[in-house]
Amino acid sequence: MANFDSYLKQLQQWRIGLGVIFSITLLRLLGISASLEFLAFDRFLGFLQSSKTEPVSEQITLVSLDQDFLDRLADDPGNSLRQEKIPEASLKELLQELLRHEPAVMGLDIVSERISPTDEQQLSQIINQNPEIVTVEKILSPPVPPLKNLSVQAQQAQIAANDFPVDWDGTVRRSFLILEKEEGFRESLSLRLANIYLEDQKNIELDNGLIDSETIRFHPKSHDGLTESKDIPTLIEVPRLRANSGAYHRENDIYGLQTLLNFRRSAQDGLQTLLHFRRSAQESSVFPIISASSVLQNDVKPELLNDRILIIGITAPSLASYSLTPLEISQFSEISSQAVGIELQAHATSQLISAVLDKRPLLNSFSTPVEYLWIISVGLFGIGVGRLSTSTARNLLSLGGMLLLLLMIGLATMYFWGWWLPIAPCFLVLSINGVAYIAYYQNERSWKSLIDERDRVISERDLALMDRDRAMNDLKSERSATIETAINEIHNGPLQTLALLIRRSQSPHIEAAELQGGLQTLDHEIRRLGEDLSQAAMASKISLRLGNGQRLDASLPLHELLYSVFDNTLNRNFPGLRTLRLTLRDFEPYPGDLTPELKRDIGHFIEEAICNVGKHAIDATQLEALGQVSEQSYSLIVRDNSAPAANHPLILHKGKGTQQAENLAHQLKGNFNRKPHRPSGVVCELSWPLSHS
Amino acid sequence: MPNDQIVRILVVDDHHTVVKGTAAFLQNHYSDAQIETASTVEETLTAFQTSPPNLLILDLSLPQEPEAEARPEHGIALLKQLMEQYPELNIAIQSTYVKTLVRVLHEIDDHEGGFTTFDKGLPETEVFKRVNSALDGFSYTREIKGKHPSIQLKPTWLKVIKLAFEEGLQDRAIAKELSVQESTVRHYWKKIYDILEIDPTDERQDGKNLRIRTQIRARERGLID
Repeated sequence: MANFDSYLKQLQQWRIGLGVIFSITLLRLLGISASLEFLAFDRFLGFLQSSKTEPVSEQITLVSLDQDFLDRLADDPGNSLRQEKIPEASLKELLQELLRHEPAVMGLDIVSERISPTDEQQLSQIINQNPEIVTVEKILSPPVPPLKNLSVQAQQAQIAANDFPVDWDGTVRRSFLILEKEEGFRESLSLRLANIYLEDQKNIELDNGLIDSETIRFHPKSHDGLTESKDIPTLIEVPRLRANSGAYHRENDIYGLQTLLNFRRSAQDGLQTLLHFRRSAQESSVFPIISASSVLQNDVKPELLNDRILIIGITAPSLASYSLTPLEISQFSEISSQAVGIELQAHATSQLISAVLDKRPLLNSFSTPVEYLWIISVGLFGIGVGRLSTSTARNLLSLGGMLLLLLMIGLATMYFWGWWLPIAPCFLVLSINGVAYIAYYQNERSWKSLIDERDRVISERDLALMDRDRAMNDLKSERSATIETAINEIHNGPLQTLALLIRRSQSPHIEAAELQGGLQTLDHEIRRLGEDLSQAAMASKISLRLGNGQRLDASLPLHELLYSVFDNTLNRNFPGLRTLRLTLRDFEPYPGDLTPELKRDIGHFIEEAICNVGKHAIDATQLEALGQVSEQSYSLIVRDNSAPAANHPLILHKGKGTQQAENLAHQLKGNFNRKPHRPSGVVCELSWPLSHS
Repeated sequence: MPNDQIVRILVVDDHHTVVKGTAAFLQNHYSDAQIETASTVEETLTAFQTSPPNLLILDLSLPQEPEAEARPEHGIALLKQLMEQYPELNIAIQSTYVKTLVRVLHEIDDHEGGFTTFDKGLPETEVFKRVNSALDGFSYTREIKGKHPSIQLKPTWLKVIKLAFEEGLQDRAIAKELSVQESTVRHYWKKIYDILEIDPTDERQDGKNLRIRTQIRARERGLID
């Protein structure tokens, strides 16, 4: 029951902390904490981005239709280019030129809207003839259909979706793998490119996920074509972004198959980027860039094209569309956190290929229950911080350390394994609960010390009251003793004289002189009485106050005091004393001096010893109380012949009386002991050397 | 009762009437006796200077000197002094403060002369008995102690009883056993009569053997088997 109570008390103490955990969990469930979580995510990515470099991509090259290229098209008078569209002919020429270098696969990331068609259908022809060219359509609203006049085969295998899902804050943090269409599915351009590249160049196949059947995985092709695909070990299973994954609580567009974007890092670290001219540094730091113009002029390094994934798209500011990225990744844009389409495609493709070939981690998040478990346990840690030590400063330092550790864990898991922990809510519960409970326990400690102080004051007051009561009792008994003395003295003095005078006055022979003398005596006696009484009231003598109320003057010789104590105590009404038939008592005079205080305490010792017989002795018929002088010492012995009691309370336990006796023995530099007496009874002895004075 | 010389009795009381009354009462019983009186501690000590009386009848409440205040402490201090100086002095205490004597029990126990106490309110015959006992060297001290029914005694006296009645030793043998004078043993017996509440004068008058009576009483009270 006590356990349950303390448990309940604990729970009560924790209610604030549990409330905080609950509130933050609720905030998260409602998606209110998402911006904070995105912020944390972006910062983490940024930190990782600047902390480690990656070599320039060896698989992907960007072919940019830059402003220079577009301007030249516009200048050509034979060209029917309208400002917003690119003629099929120039694209065909570009593709043909690129094909000459035998790339692994080409992604033409230009939607049909941006291409001005010709009657000759030059573009669709070249696409139909070259299966390594992949074109795009836009599926999300507003949709843009694929190129017309593609062969059935090309329609199935060479069209991919170039959409990117945009978060509610307008930022691209994830990419599609597969999109749902009205009829069937469409692979994203990045997946398509990665798939073709891996299959053709590395003999690696795309398949359904094994652990999570709704996602995809890559595995080596079976050599014989007979092995069941599920028996082939996975190279990588792409983590699927679920609704409610990470901070995606508010997003209602987690459809199709999506994964988070782990942007490819620059080949130059932050310092180098700062030192070099920024633009030129960026141009070749992540993906190699070749302008369409230089391709057409055959001014290219063939190794940047051969066996590579080429992603072709518009980068000219006048026609390009930009997307916000959490990181400053853009190699084209003036504002480097705004990326053009082919850059996003390149990063999305690159992360798949690197994951398969280099085991580069893809970003992943825990399932929702595990995330909440994290938040709750971190919140509980926060409650505990206040109890780590009694120093508030040290606790705050510990809290700081724990917050730092939390960040480190978050970074490390992201860096090494790509796991995205709910760092922001954890940080929040830990700091709120930590600070709250450091304050709470600090407060409780100061309360406790206040209460302790109060208890101390109360007990001191109680002691003082007890002292006062005792003093008042002493005063009362002193007063009654004084009154008694007064009555006795009146009785024995003036009253006797008065009685004599009355008797004498009845005699006929009374003489006036005799009467006068008698009256003078009476006057004298009464005056004397008054003086004596006031003197007695003033005198402060150390006295021994016995349990029956009797007071003894502690300045009397020790043995006289002991006889009085013995007689007074023996006549008290104790059961163990009533059965006594024989008492042997002999207190020899003490051959030395003792202070009244010591004599008082010795008197109390004898009283206590006899009271103990009275209280504890069973069927005792004989009591001995002796004070004996030997050569070197004086011993006081109290012995009874009670029935043998193996479990005599006083022999088993040290009571307050025993303690006092031991103290007294210590003061007298002597010994005290109490032990069973053979053949029966208990003997209690206090002895001390006579040299003590 | 010594017959060969005049018996001197000293009556000490601070009240003239009491002194006079007591003196008259004593003269009545002991016609040959020489009755002296004193009313202060000083007077008493002066009276002792020539030679001690055969019997001291003492009131405990005494003034130190004339006109001074009477206090039991003065009487007790005087008593202690006299008992120490004259161990064989016969003393009868006439007082309302008999119980205050409990603190000098050790000295009373050791006192070899007669020692009796009586309250001032006792009837005359009883007073005479106590005074006579004291004069005969016997003790009557039971009123000093509280009302506890047990027999209270010194360990030595119990030894005397056991040696006499359990081992059948004569006083001389007992004295030898205890390494004391034979007279001391006789003095012990007087104390034993007192604590066993045997009145030697009565018993003798009744023609009983005192020792046998004592043995019976000691057995009754469980002092011997």
